[in-house]
Amino acid sequence: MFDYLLMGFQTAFEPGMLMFTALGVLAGIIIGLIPGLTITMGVILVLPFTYGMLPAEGLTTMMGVWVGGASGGLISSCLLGIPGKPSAVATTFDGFPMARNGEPGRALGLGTWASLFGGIIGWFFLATLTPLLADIGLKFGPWEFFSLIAFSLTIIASLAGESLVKGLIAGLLGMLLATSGIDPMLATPRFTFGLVDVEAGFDFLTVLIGLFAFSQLMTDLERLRSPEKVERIENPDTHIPTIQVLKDIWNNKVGMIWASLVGLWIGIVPAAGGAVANVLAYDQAKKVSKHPEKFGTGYYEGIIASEAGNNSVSAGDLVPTMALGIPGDAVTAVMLGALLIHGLNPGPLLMSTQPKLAYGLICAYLVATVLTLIIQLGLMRILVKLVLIPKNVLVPGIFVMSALGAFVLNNRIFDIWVLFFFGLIGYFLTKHDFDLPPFVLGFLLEPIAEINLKRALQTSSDPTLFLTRPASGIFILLAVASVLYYFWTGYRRTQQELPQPAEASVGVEH
Amino acid sequence: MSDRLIGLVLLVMSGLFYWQTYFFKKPPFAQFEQMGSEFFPRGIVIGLAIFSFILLVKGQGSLLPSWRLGSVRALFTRYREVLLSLLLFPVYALAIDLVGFLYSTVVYLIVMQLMLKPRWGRGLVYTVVGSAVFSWGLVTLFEGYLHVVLPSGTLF
Repeated sequence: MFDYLLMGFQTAFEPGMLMFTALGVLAGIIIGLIPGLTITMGVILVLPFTYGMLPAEGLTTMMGVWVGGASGGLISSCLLGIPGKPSAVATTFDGFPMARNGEPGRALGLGTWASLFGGIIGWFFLATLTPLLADIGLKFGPWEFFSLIAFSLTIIASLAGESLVKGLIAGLLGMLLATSGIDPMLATPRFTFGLVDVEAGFDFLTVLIGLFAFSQLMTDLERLRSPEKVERIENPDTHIPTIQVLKDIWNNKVGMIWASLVGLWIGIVPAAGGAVANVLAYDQAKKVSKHPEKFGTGYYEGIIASEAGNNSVSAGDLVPTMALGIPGDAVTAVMLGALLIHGLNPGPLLMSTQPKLAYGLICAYLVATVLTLIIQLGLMRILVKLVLIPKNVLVPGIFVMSALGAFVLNNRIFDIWVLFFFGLIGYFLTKHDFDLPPFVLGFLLEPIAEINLKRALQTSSDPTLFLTRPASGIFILLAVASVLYYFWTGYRRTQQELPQPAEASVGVEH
Repeated sequence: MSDRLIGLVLLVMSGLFYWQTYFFKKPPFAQFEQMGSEFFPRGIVIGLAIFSFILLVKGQGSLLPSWRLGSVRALFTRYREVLLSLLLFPVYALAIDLVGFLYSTVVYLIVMQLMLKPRWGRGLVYTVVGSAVFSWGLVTLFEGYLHVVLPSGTLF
């Protein structure tokens, strides 16, 4: 493995690669720091620019965007009190109060350095766990893959949103629309409704651009009517007191490592994603802290936990995506699409058949993490000014970029219509509290699920094998457990909301 | 739209998709294939129908939406930008096909920006120049450096 890692570093450190990674990081940071633009959208918007690049260049650029985007949100969190992206929510709890208390440079420095250390811890596990998981994945048959997909879909439906039924509907709807086009096994056209262009199916990335970029823009347009009142820090002093920041981090090393591990674990488990990791890492750091009462008042440990957690989660997300080809959330689903476009086929065979690219990508993660620190520290004065780009300029530009991204995939105008169609679906689902990640995972995993189910049943018509084969049985059990967990938490919530007998009797007496 | 109404629409849609599966043609080499092309989609549709039915029965809200002229007007006022953008985007897609990416993008950007924030005088000049530079920059980048050909328009 060390030989492969060395080879990966050689690839990642080529001057051209470094330049593309740095450009990706810069783009990611800028997208991450603008409130309303998510990392998913950032990856989607930058992807078309990589089509003309060599696979290694394109992939390292995308990795840069992802890693930079994970860290960029801290700038608006600290200076505006508005998270640049959902996975920087907890950074606002302490980052903004610290900046308001006259220490914006320290807040930004803590976030930037904690991102680096969280990223490094995450990378260590990414580099060691991915080959191990891929080895396990090589032993999987179609039963295991189908059960794993069933588990991924049920857990994302039960954890990602408020309603399990709506989550499952979204997942099934995504799967249903993914069956449009040619059947992967029998080459029969399905659900084409007489449209020749649909026979090729809907391109996954076009669907993603529609679902995430287009529907997000619609939501942004709604907010233009009622803009949030922003209490920003005017002309912040962005000088970062590096020695003090590093001392703070050293004093809180246990909390930071713990928060990074929490983030990593959340990343590896499907469904939860950066937003959950961020808040959970913050909460866990508060629990292990000697001064939990100071959290939320501009306390340095809060910023460190939040940023370390949301950076290590990216590494955790990549583990199952690269090793098994099963993404855990929307942004990894987009990254999976990017890998596919550049000729990398994520799954158990990836690490053994394309080790140069696979390990190059893993090493690019670490390089991007370091470059994020360098770029953020070097360009902080300029970056803080970009936080306030007006939406009326930004939104039309992103509409154009979305249309362009959809078009250049296959050089078809039809794909712009597909983008529009899925944009409408995404906006409608969001407006009615259906979560998009189950839809995306359903859409992405449908062909794999169908092929593996058919293969399993063609190999043996005995359906009990899904339960009796150990790994498959465990995945099925986990799927059932995730549904039961949803009902259990719902039951507990209902019990807590019910009036207690003592309170009720007091009410009667009065 | 209430949850119950969505449940009903999805239930009807599931029925339509299920009916469509009867029209999948089996290729000659797969005449004796037990699991045809319809096998998996039918499973999905049945699952969708079951959960849509649950949403229809257990969901919130009324099945019949109450439309009043006032509420429609209020809705249009609230969603003015969204609705106009939804109208402009298909026009933009058509324009890309007809007059090409460059010209349609310049006009689209100007119209969208002015719709979101009307500007006159110097502001308008900035909008026009900014839109032209952005569009030209994209075309140059994609065609000149990334070797991706963008539509030049069927009318030209």
